[in-house]
Amino acid sequence: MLEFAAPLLALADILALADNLALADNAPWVLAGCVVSCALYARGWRAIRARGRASRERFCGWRCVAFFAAWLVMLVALASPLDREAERALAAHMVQHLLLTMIVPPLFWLASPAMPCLFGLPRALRLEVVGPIIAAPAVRTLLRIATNPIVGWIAMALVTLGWHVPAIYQLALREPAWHRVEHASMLAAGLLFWLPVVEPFPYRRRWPRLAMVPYLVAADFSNTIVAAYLAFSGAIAYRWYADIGAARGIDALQDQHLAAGIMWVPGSIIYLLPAMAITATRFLAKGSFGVRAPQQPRELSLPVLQRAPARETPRDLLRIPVIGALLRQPRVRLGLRLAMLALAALIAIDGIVGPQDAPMNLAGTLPWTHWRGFAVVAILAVANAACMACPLIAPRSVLRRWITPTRTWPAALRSKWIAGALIVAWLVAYEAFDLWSSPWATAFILIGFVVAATAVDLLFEGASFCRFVCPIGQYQMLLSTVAPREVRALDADVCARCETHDCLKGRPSTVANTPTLPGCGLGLFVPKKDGNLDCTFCLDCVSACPHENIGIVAVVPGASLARAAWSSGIGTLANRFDIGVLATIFTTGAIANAAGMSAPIVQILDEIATARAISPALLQGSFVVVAMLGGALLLASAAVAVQDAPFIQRFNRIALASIPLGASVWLVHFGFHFITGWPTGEAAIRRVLHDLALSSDAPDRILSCCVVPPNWLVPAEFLALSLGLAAALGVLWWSIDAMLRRRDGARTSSSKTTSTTTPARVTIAWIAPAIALIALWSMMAWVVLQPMEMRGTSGFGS
Amino acid sequence: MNAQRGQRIVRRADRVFMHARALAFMLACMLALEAVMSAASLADGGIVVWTGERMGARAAVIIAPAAPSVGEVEFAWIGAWKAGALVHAQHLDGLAIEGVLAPAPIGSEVRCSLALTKVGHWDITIDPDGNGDAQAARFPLEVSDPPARWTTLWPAMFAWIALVAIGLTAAWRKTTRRDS
Ligand code: SF4
Ligand code: SF4
Repeated sequence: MLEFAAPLLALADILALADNLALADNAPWVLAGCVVSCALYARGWRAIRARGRASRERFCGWRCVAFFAAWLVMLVALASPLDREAERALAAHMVQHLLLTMIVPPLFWLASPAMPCLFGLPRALRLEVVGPIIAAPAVRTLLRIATNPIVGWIAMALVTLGWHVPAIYQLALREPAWHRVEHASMLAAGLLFWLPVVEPFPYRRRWPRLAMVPYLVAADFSNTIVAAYLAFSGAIAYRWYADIGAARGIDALQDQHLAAGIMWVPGSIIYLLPAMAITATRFLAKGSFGVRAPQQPRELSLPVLQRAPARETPRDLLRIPVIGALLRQPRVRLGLRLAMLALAALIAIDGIVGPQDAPMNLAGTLPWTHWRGFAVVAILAVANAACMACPLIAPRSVLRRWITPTRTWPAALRSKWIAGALIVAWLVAYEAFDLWSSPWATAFILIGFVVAATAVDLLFEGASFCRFVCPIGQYQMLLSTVAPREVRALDADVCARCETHDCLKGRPSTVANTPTLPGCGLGLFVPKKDGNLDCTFCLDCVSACPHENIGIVAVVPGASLARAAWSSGIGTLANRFDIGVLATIFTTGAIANAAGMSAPIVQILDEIATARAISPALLQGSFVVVAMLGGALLLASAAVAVQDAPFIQRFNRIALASIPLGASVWLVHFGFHFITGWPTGEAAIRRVLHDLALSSDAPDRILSCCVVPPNWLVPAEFLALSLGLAAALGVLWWSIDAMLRRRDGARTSSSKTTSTTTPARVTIAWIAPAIALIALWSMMAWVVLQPMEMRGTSGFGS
Repeated sequence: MNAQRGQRIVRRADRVFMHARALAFMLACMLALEAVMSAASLADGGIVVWTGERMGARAAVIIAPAAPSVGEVEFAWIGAWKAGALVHAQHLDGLAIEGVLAPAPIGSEVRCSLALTKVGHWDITIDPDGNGDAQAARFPLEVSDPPARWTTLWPAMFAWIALVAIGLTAAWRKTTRRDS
């Protein structure tokens, strides 16, 4: 896919360099739109071509070229110097409109983009969202109307005539929002108009082919009317250009005549050429006089969408050349953890012996600003890479060669209660004692974690520390429940035939002096595990499986939360109250933690502490607890409102559904620190190098300040929160659906009655908890709009 | 019976799918395009607030946004200019702000953005040669209260409503199909 994105990135670079301007600020949005669209097309195009010769012939190379060319022309029209010149000269504006209505749309349709873009979508999205929506009667009717040629013709005539009315044209020049509407409507009308002319596969013809000739000629009339008006009117049509033209030394009337010429001559040619081509093709074609419609494309159906193209077999990350082979090696994974342990040791040493000035100390910057940001992005983009590279378990992996633990973790403590309590304690201490601002405290926390993890895992079997104690691990595992990848058995049949179950039990080595390959220390039996909960991505199971039947494959993020079903090592998720409470801590803690850095909250707490002579630490710690309790109460009251299942199940399902929202809050919070605070790492590293006499550059403290938040950051934060809330509400709906169906299943099997679970019932039950989640989102939205107290940096107050 | 009904649904879906693909893709394109356009049209638009003759040539001033409010206001000078050209803004209560006009990416224009921090009447002076009053262009400017932040952030802020609507429609359709 990257090979397709690369030319576009290069193009954006050229444009940015060429005009040295707006793109610099807006590049993320421009590139996002262009790259996502092209990547989607390229992915689907390749998948379809892999299906056989007929598909390869239909989706030949030039279609792909047409798609990229359409984007290229669109970028020239909207994000190049032409766009700016269009504000100053009517002729340039006319070229821009011509590109949007007459060049971009036919190029898009020549690419036959529907199939490639649909197959470029993730399978679940295609089948679970796009498919059912396309089949909805209302959508069907709407589409049937919209794709009627007469609608396209009228739309094109309206935009051509309407937008050139002087008052409307000048409104668009004055107001950027209207300017956007103008361009969007031109492109939309162009797409509708050119659809029946180009007939991209699998468009089915509505009118005889020859009808396109009067269709195109008639469209040229509206074009001619505007062009003639501009050409023959002796007055300047748009006052804006009269004012500016004089100052630029351009005769505005001449500019207007040039614009008319562009609209008239090239515009008419673009309409009339296809009309002539259609006529010629029809009359020259043997035996055809344009009456009989040619053969229509074969009907395509939703089942076609379900048929996976060859390239859609689950793509296992472990099959990627080099990276996959490396990750399969236990030694490489241990090496990764040992490298991280060495880095942690360096940070701890600097935290203890370095200056106690957080922005200039490795312990004050790398773990809090950089690692947290990197970890949350890596987990949400791929999988639980943070646990996989965890330095805390490196010592136990080495020491277990000589020390074999014999005890099992006490049955009474086999839950998430300890870990949950530690997360609360962590969040309270973070706020109360400003842990991030103390390199010394950071160093001792790091050392404490390594010692505790090693001690627990040398005393008890398996990975008891990760599973029952580690608060960081629980946070990362909860985040990874909405990650797009999961450790899974590749072929269920192979597992069904497997007798050894080494992925769980471990595999004794067959080579002398080499250690046994351990099985899953967290007690997960891979073929029976559902979701990422409790999985540290240690990949021990991958090495132990003798059939190479385990991979890291794509899953629907959050689907296991909606199922809340039975999973190996966990039991039925919907019944695990401790996990429900942990999920609540995860989400409400995310909001409380972010709120604690917003300036108004900090100010209010400071004022109360001063006025009432209360210890600020006590007050800040109490704020976290009260905020989290408030959030938990909100979720619990929503659970009371839903009926039809035991309270714990209802509460758990709502709490689990809140995880995507919590994940987006953590992403927004840590992402903000990462983006605005990244230079602090450089300052701290330079200070260390200077202290070690490895560099003569004296560190400049000003470097440790943050960068000014870029313009796109707040909209991007809201977009992330929107995605999180939408995913949470979606998981909630499916979870309630599953809960009601389960109850119905039990009832109907005992009393032979029919199921009463309808979408309407599910939606009614969904409303109360959905409101609770929206309330949590609105709290976080308020936090995002507040100025922030910058932490781990040397300044920048808002 | 059920199989026939299922086939009927699939056939109906077949027909609509013909057109849906085109439109679904078009909508995706529109969304992507919207991103491009919102990016491309930053500092777009504006209003001509002054025209006249300075330094022996016609000149014009465009400000953006067309209805300025507290915050960044961009001044574009179209006409002759020299290095050191300035824009000076003075509020009725005496607060003064000054900025240097710098070459803009359009033709030979120069531009400067000033952060006008107060509501009310401002007197703007543009000095295109940097030599004081002789060639200066003057015009008044009324600055209003800043718009609420949500007015610019609403597409990202409330994108979840559209996503939930799409998700609910899909879920509803899928559940209905499964049950029928
Ligand atoms: S994953 Fe491997 S070891 Fe585990 S049951 Fe399946 S085949 Fe056996
Ligand atoms: S299933 Fe167990 S062994 Fe496999 S990666 Fe996850 S935690 Fe490790």
